[in-house]
Amino acid sequence: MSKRPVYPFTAIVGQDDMREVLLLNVVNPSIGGVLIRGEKGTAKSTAVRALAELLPARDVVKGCKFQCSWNDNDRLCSECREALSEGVVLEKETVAMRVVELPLCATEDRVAGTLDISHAINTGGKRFEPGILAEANGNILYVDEVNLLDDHLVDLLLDAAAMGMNFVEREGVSFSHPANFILIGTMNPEEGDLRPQLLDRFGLVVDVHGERDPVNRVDVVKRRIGFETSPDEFLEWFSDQQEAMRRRLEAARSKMRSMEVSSEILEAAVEISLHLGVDGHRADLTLVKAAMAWAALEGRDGADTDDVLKVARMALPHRMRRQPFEESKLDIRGLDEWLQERFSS
Amino acid sequence: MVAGTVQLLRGTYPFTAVVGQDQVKKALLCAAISKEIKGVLITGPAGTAKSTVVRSLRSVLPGLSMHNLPLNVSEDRLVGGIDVDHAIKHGEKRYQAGILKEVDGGLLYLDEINLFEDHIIQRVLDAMEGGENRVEREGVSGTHDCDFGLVGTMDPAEGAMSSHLLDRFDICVSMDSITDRDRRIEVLRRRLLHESSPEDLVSCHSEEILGLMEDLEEAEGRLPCVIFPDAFYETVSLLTMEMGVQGHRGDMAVVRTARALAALDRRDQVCLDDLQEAASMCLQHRRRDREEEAERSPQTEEQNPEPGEEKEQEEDVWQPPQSDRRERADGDREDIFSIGDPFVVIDYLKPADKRVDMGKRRGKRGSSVRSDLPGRCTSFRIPRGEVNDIALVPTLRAAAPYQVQRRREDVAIVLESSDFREKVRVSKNGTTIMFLVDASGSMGARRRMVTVKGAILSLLKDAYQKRDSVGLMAFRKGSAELLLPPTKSVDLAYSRLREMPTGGRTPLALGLSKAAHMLSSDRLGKEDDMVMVIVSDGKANVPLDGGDAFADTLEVASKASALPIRFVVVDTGSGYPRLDRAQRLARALGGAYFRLEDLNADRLAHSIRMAVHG
Repeated sequence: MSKRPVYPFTAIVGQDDMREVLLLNVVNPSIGGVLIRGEKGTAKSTAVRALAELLPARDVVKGCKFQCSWNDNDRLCSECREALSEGVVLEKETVAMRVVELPLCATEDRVAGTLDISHAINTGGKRFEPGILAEANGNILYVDEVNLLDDHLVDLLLDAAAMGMNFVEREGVSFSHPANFILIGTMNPEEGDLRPQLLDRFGLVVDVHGERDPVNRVDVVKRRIGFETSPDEFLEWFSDQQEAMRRRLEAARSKMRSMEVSSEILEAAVEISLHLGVDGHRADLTLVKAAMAWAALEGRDGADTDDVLKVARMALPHRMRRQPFEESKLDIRGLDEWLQERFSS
Repeated sequence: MVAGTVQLLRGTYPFTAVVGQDQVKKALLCAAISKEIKGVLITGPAGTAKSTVVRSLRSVLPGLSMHNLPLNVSEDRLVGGIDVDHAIKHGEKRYQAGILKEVDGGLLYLDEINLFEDHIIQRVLDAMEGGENRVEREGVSGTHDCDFGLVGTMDPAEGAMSSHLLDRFDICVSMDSITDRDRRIEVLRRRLLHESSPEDLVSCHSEEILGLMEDLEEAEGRLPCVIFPDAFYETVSLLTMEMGVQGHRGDMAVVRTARALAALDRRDQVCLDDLQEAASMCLQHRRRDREEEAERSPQTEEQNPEPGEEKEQEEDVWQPPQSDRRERADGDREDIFSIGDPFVVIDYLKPADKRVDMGKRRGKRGSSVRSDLPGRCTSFRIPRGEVNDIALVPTLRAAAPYQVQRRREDVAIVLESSDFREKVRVSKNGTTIMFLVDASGSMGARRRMVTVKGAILSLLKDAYQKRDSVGLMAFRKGSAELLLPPTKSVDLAYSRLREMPTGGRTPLALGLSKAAHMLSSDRLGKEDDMVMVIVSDGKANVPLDGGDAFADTLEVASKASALPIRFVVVDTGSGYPRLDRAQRLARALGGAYFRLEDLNADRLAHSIRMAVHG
């Protein structure tokens, strides 16, 4: 399969907020994905697809259709679990992470997986045919126009996201496999809302706008044309920057792993959540993880209150709604003042 | 297991590490030690560790087999069906059991239980209550015992469960986020520790876990010996009656739960505290009084009008100039009222409503069954006539038993026309609800609009949960204005509602005809179920062409009643005596009539604790 050239991430002009949230998820995938809100033509899809090039490789069970993680024996597919119980030693294989797209028109059986019909007709036997959730395991699951996704597909996504596993019990097949993915969605808010429950599953949210700086706008067009006319040359041009970014992410990931959780950021996260009246505990968790990922990305060994504030504007806007249907607005300046007052003493 | 150590699956959160949520934990433990307790439902907003606490039960009940029922479950996998492999090999129909057999003796867990299809929940509940699963499908019949516990969790913001399903859960408890700063920090600290090094979290709690395991074992042994004093039976029935709980499931649930609570507390006899605690777990969700009440009140008023009241009403009809003057006086005033507190809405679009014209309805609100159009396949049937939409898997299953006899040459399976099964699809055709709101000056009197806006917000919230499209039209001064064409974005409707000004006269006839025209125009999806909710006091005072304003309105209404639209009139009139204008409007439209106050499902609810103490 010949690989279609992908526009390099580091060649994207402007859109700093969007790039930052995407990178934070690469540093710590357990942040829980990103929802990108904004009008059409603001490089949302380009950025998500470009991210694939910066993703780390991961160890999976060799030969497993579902790419079960190699060291996570609690989350194995039915087949690997069976093999393990029969005493088979699972071998390791290294694969690249990918961006898997969930098209809006997908049907339920293609998303969750179903009975392998051709196998049933040819041999009369039952076999599970993996769906998109299986493909997405260990990868990024990208849903463009996520707010237009059919309700029952959203239900399936939520079910899988909650457990990190996809359980299929239909059409006579019973199967389970890991479905641990970074969910990235894009939406144009004018076309409808996202169900609060799905909204809450996105770790971070970012609003994007078209580039307003004329100089940058020219750059956007120039680079795009440059990429389209001679992609190879263009990729070559950015290869150093891409390599530098990969190294930066690798360093951030290793810093993240050894970083201690300080009481300072725990307290800051909880106090911010309480001050804003955010529902549930997911916000607190996301604030802490994202703050640590941000510090790591900046090359620091620990996160502080400033980092929590920095990521608050990404982790909280979509969780602000106490009153149903009240527009969710996050008053960053107010929050900043409040924090200064609260933590300066 | 070696004493002093706890070994857990890595994914399992230790039960004792869950901060707070005492009532939920207790409810789960009661169900864990008592096989008699059927069904525990946990409700709460997203991100409050509902599923974490349920799954963590495994940490204190090592022998427990917990089965997670996925949302995509099909009925044949749940209850069982024909054994396809056996059928192909031997040409025999044999029953193969499904999940309900596998879960026998264990615990069935339904996360997001309110998102499951009703027929699935129904089958689960039937099997749980009957203790057996009886199957008649695909030409096979089978029966097996199934004795299992059931735990469901749900976020009420995503939609409510019907009261008859709710009633079948013995216990229903709710969870909320923790608001105490230090405890919240603790939640976060433990969660992070669980993610980074689960073993450390487990070892911090191993003593507590082992202690609880012992306690549970002891309580389970003690439970059969726990005495429920005879005198308490009466207390329980008085309590349930006082709280307006219908049926006897509630009484029994209280008795069973109280016994389990006593056993957990190492006592051999149930005490009053147990009863009180059990009542708050078992009765909250069964209080059907509010629904009944709301249904009854408008009727009784309609049927037995006090003679004096009628007279006064007529007087009021005869006096429009007076009210007209008053409105003209403040006709120039324009106010934007804030939005009152939202509440839980009763099922005001219920198809069973007698006042709704039977001919106009198309199936249950929100979904219709069909076999010709796209939609979600929910089951299959033997086709009548030509087959267009073949259900492949059921067809294969139907063909399986005959494979031995049929001549198979190169293929593994031979199909004949009698095997064909077709899909039954349920298409979620939306309901389009047009809110026609009276924004005239009379609505601003005594800040009535604040309450009205609160009510509309509640109706919008209800529409969101049922995934309806909503539109908003307001009439005031001389015109009717479409503030929002039908949209799925309830947020947008909310912001339009907030900005909606109030003031001026009441062109009800104009508003009605415009809204009816809007709904019947073919811009909207033909398949949609159309509903118009008219929120007004009915005091029309702007005629269409110089006649009597209210007579005009009734005329428009009787014309509109012929359209395939369901009408609901929400009477915002207040004070005493209440005018019957809105009621007459509802009658002319052939629609349902509600008073604003009656929409509030919680209005009649009073605190359970007060009932217990009182």
